Amino acid sequence: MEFMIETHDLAKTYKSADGKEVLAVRGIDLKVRKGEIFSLLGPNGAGKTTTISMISGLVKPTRGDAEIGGFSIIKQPLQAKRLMGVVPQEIALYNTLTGRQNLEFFGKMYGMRGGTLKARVDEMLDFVGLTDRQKDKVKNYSGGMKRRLNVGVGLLHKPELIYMDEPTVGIDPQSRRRILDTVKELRDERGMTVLYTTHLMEEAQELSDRVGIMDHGEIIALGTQDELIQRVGEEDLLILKVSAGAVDDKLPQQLKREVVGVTQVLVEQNEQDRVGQLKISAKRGRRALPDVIRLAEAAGVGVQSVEIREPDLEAVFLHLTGRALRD
Amino acid sequence: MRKILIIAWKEIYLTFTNRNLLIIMILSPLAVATIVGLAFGGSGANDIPIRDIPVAIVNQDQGNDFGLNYGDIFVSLLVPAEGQGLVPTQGEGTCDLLESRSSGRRDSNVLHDLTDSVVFDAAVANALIESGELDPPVHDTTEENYVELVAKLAVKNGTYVAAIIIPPNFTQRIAYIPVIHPSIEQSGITVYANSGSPISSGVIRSIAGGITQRIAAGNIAMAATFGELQERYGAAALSTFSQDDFSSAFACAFDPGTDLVQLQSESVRGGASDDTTSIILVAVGSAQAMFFAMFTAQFGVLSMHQERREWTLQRLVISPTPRSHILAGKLLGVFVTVIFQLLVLIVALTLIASLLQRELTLIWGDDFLSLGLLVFAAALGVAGFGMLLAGIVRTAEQGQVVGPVANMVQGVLGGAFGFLLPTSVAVFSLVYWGRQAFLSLSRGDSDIGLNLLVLVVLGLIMYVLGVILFNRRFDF
Repeated sequence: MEFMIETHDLAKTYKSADGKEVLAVRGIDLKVRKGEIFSLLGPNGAGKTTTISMISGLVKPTRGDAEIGGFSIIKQPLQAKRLMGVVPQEIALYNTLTGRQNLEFFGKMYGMRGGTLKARVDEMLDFVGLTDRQKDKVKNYSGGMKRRLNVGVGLLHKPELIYMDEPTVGIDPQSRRRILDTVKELRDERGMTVLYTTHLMEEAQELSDRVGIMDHGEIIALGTQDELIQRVGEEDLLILKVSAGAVDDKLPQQLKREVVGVTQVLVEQNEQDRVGQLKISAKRGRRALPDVIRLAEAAGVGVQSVEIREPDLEAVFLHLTGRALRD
Repeated sequence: MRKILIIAWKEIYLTFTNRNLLIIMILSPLAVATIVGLAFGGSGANDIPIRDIPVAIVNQDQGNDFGLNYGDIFVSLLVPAEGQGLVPTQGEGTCDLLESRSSGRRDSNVLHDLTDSVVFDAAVANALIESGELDPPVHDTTEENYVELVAKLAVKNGTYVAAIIIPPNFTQRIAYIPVIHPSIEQSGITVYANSGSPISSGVIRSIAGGITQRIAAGNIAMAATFGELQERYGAAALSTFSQDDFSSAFACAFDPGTDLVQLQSESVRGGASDDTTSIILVAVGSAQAMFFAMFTAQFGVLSMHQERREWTLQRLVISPTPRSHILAGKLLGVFVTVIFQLLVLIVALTLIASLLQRELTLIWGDDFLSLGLLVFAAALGVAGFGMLLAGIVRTAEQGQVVGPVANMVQGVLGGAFGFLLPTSVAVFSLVYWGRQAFLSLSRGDSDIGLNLLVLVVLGLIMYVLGVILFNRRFDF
């Protein structure tokens, strides 16, 4: 069997507070190969977590199905769940239990016991670097330690497939680095399949064999990073730092109309820091830059700095949606 | 099954390592029951701040041919201005000797202050029924027992705290009359008390006991005197003894004013223990135990919402564990915790009562099987109530508001706050059914089948409803 995950027209509709139906996931067909790191990239609210929740059996799909290692998550949920581990975005741990007690409890929920359980708990404590703090209650852990233990619980039963839902949210750079290295290690040394969701382009770029870009409940692009970037063509991303509030609505239209190669212009304002950004997708961006600066200054926008980026996943997202990933 | 036990064990472990929860579960009800017990029981009994306890006296005593009527003694002692017959308003002869010793107490009748007694006859019974306050008795009613049955119903519905039932031949059986009735037979007065008012009921039982003893003492004095007179002057001389002579000679023998009833040391109950502190410990302790058990159950079941917020519930759902096992494990944990809580409280209150009595005092009675069944049924009832609440509320925060309010309502209805509402309202409270059953057992009355049935059936109904409602929201 080539694929670890296969979804067929997987969809979820919620009812909002005012009774309206909200289509969170609009029927996605996804195939994740065994042993690959597959990232679902998209802004907050794109439907990444709902997709993972359906695939993990937490949320019942409104329609469609997902197969995990050949087992339907709807018809054979227990067999499917045995193959997977989940690292949720939230710290899903009992704060008043110790780190070791958390691992033992969830290990038992996966059917482990006795010597096997003890050995796996010891191994996992070592893996996440918490052996010294194993007898401390989780409520006394730092945020990074909790995140690492959260990962450890998901990996405890040596799953063939691990879902990681934004596992680096809200942690220090050191812990983040450690988790990213762990993800790569899982694939490279243990042959695990990893389904990773993030809204951080850098993480998806660093980790992924393939990327699915989600927006408004749909996968709008899917492939390797090279394949996705090719969609953008030779477009560079020009990032101009300007004073906040200096850019009016006319300038983006003017840039698209008058500068050769400009395809997208996005204005980001940060009133608090009194800075703004103009993100401009442009073919042969270096050649377009003088015209861009000229028009900006003519419009009374003082350019403070300029950055030229080679095409990346953020540029792909901008190209496909006209919005930034962090919107 | 193994996973159910693992989840249940985790619940129990989390509960018993939570210091705040333990204080609420164990120490609070224990402290309340003990403080109230010590305040209103034991050596403090003389200071019971109780007055005007409503009592119905069903005096069916027809007296004897000699004009003697002990039933009227009860009436005259408890009902002001209704007194008739034997007890004089002033001492004469022998009584003068006693007057000086008891003058301080005779100035006012303590019993009149303590009770608000009425002579409960057919007129009163009919008035209650006609006013709609009582339904007429329907079973085994005869002309003879009609008034008695209505009086019991009036106690049951809370109109009176107790009914003192004096049988028709009471005086005839126990009174010693030379030549005519030269022997004394046993007879009985029934005090039918509302166990929902244990303190007041205890006081009434003490009063009735005191008066009964007084009558018995008077009887003995009378018999001894008559015996002496007969021996000295012969039986013929006694035939000249008139009713007036009798009254003046023996009146003070029956007058409790010469030896007021001692409330603090009298037997007030027929169960395993005979002191007021124990009664109050049981009454307050059982109500508090039920009341706080509801909190425990609620904390336990509502923790599902807390777990959902903290995502540990989702993590359990993602694991290869059926959802039904997760729910069953949580509830089993709650159920065992509540049983443990009730048992700890029962044992602790028994120890406290034993310490106060300086001997082992089984305040909950000695029917351990029924006690065990009651604990089981009570735990089932409160766990079901908790599950229903968990099904009704949507979030942990809602549960934190709705839960205590629902518990308070149950507590108020069931008498957990020191006052009782009419039975017709109280029956809607689990606290009431549990408390009544604990009180019955403590009195040695094992007839708690109805209470067990109500607790179990209500618990199961609420549990099923709760599970249905909760399952509707078990999709994340």
